Amino acid sequence: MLKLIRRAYAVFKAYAVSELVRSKGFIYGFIGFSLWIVLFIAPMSLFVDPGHSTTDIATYGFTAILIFMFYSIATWDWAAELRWMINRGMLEYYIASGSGFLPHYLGIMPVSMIWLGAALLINYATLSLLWGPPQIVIADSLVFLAGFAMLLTVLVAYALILGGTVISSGTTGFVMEIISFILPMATGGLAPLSRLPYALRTFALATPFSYPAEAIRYSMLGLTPVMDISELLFRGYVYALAFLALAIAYFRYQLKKILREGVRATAMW
Amino acid sequence: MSFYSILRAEYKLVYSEMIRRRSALIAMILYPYLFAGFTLFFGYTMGSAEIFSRRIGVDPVIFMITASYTVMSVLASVDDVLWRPLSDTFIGTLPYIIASPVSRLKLYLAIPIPRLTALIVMGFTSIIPVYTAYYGLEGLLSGLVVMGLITLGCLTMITLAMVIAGLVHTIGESWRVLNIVRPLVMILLGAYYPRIYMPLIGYVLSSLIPSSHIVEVIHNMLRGELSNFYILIALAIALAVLYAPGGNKSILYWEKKKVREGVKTD
Repeated sequence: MLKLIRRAYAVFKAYAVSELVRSKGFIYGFIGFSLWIVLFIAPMSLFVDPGHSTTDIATYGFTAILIFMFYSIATWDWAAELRWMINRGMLEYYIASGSGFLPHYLGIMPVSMIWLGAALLINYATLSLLWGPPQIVIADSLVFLAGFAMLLTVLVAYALILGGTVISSGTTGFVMEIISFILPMATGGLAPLSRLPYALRTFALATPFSYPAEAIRYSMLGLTPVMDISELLFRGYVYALAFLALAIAYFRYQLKKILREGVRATAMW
Repeated sequence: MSFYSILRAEYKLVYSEMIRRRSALIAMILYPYLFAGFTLFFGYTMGSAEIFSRRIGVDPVIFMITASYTVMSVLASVDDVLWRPLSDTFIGTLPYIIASPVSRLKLYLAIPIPRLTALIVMGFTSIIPVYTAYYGLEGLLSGLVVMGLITLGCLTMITLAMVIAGLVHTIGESWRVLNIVRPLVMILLGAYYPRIYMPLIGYVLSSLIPSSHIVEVIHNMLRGELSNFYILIALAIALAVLYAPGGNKSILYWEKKKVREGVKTD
């Protein structure tokens, strides 16, 4: 256990220094990112009556961005990390060292969260300039924490499946970008299920992603979920844990596959 | 060196890469739908199509697919000009280009044209099917007109892109600064969020971007208004011509700086 913590800390230190301390592009990246968000979010206000509260629009937008960013982190920080490890020639060393990927991911997750927090602050400021400050009120902190933990479980499972596919099939960055766009929309990550068309809502409920998103929206926006909250949490957790078990099995299988067939190293794009 | 020879070389460069990277080609077809789907999804879940149509005067699907195609086209053609100096630095061809007697204006005018041809093809997979599905044969015709206008919009952006490229690469930290300038220009273009809804400062800055006038022409056309059609197009072309000497000087100034300091080849 101590060895695991030491390894995870070493990874955290290395990534924090290289990405948060040394990188001059940190601030530039945030400004650019928030501008791209403005480009796609701004037209949203054209769909509502001019008399509608702009704070509501800002809060709605902020919650959608929050969930979208979690998906992005799972795709680009966690799943795509395996691809970077292949390209940098690190993956083989990890496999040979026998330490597994757990310390690496325990080390990079806090860096991802710091990045996420800073990006959300920038987005909060941007939305405040556009429409006024989003109202963040955690109405039910217990449900919020349960939803948040469920979201992390589901996203780790998703990253394992995507990462497993990346290392064994050489999936391109383009495919990942398409997935990162479509997945949050199709699985009810960006909008309340009650506002989705029936077919899309049914599809979203058949995936584990919709349950934590509904729980978070309920606790932050007060939006009534499509089912009773206790049922939502129960079904969500059963689904999330089953998904995680499946993802771990799949990832292990893909690792065995690359040990037999070799790693497919291609460019990111 | 004639413009034709430069253009032929650029076509060979861009298309050999495009054929090799088929995923980028597929992305070009999918992106207008993805962006349009993304903005429509947000809009529909927050409000309604009726309110959008009442406020803007255009069906949201038509508006968003046009906006997405416009942004993709302008971005792709402007990107070619903005990133080329960096790309030449990284692959080591910059010293040869600096040493060559080729006219910089001719070279930079030729750079975005090959990709622009591919973007016109992209219009046949995005604008044309959606317009035809909505308006039938009339939609096919108006789709072709919109594509023509967007092509003109892309061409009018070249000289402004040259000004920005020269300035940004001279200042340094260029790719990072470019990642701020690019979305900013796209917002000010007014394709997704019409500039009449922007604050005054946004409107003024938007008016300095040549293709923003073309975007306004397209929005007016979709609303069935043809007022100021020629004036706005003339404004866009005039701005493009006005930026040309500045663009040329900006690139030459950056090259002189490189000659003084040396070119790093990573």
